[in-house]
Amino acid sequence: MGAEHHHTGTAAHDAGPTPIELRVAALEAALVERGLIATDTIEAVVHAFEEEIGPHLGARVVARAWVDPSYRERLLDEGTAAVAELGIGGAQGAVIRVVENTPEIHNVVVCTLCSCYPWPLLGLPPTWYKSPAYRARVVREPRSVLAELGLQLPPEVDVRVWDSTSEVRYLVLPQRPEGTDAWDEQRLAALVGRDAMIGVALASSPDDVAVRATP
Amino acid sequence: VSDVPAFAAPWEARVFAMADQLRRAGALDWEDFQHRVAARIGDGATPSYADWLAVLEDSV
Repeated sequence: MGAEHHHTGTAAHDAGPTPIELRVAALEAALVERGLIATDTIEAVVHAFEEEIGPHLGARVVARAWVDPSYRERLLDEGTAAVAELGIGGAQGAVIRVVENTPEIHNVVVCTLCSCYPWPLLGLPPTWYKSPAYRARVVREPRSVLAELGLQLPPEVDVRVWDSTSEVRYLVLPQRPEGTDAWDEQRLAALVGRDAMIGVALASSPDDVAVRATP
Repeated sequence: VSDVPAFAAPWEARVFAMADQLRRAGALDWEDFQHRVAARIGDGATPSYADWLAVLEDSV
């Protein structure tokens, strides 16, 4: 989606474990040795974040809202409860609020303070989401930032920026792409990427998917 | 856990998982843990998983 180019990460590249990774490993080994934790459980949690919890969960929510108007109402009204209907939860105290894109309004999410993120719906955040540049600039000049991320919005579209906190995590409900009237939820969900739910991209069009599916 | 910030790296998820498992096992008093994290970083600052790690290291 090109968004990753926005920010050059400062993470170490293939330089072996960092000092903090070594400390984590040492602590883990000590706790396992004392029988206080099981490595299996740690692996399970890490695996969940890396594999099982990801944007596909948010995409299911979006696709349901596109096909079921009453679900959409509930989602916009009480995001946390509507998301829980699909068995997605665990935001531990944080409320999930869903904001809807329309032809007139485009929503984009940031956490200006740190990196609050609707992780039960989207998994791990992209590096650029945490970058000081994105956090500071998207508030001041959202249109420029979106354009740099590859999303050109017509001038008549009103851009709204939502600041996620530890209490409220925002998720964008993108507009349903044209030409998908006959599509079922599962096909629709494949059009919904992480960036669309942060608001720095649109949902993919059926054409994009067709192109991608053709080698 | 009142707030789980996003994980920037797998080691952060490991730190979170360790703290959570110690809590579940009754080996970590959660309120005390949070107080110590807060005391470490000072008022109003946002704790990072490096802070969690340091407090966990002190606890064992």
